[in-house]
Amino acid sequence: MVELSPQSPFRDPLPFKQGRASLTENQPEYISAIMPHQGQETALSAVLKKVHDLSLPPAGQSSANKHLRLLWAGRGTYFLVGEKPPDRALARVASLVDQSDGWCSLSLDGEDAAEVLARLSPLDLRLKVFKPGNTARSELQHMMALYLRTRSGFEIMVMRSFAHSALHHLKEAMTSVAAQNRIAG
Amino acid sequence: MRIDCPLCGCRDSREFHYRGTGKLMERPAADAGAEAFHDYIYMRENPAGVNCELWFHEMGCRAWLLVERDVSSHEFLSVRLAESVTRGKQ
Repeated sequence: MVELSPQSPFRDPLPFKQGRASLTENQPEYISAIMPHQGQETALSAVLKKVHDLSLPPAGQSSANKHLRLLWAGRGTYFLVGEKPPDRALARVASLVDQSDGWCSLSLDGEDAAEVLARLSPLDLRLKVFKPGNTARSELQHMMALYLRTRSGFEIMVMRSFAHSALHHLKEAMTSVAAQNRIAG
Repeated sequence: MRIDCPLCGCRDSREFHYRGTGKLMERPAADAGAEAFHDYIYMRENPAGVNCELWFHEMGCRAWLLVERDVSSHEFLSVRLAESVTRGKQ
């Protein structure tokens, strides 16, 4: 079968660095939405443990193993992100939808990452509130986004059609924060 | 205004959309007649005080919320997941 080479959703070159913040593109091989059928959360949790060795995270949290991450992505929705698609056994208790080409993912890292994001999102980004491993659905300059706090910063996912706008706004905020910090010395 | 979403926590109101009166949760039975449906669709109370309303967390977790809000002070007195209210009834 012909293997097509993947194209980045971003038109501008990455990584992008300004001051104490850097932006890089993530290219997860698979992103799959897992939506448990009504009343099947407990059953889904058991199957996930068995086939992927992952626990079903509560709202606003995530779980991970070496190959896969499971992110809470809204009411009754989880995103399985990583090297593998979901095991077919999950389809007995949940609806599975491939989202691999539907979303794009960026990592915003560095000391000023939270300050940059504060200009684009109404989330409370303080470390004591939004901890590493926590996820949040919120907006990024009027675009619906999924946030994950990591040890070094944030992962930001938006729908692929928003890729260019998201990148534009993030770069603008990074440039502005870096400039203000330079002036402040 | 800030709304305390049961799933996401306290969030800015820009993430939410007002979706009408909470009365929409109480749909009349299919054979209730034209009068009942007329009331359900068109007739609204408009008190300058506590209102029961439906809000949608559109820019967040996409849950429908059933809230009690004082429209004279914009204070949210309670926020529940609409689905938990519906399923409680069944």
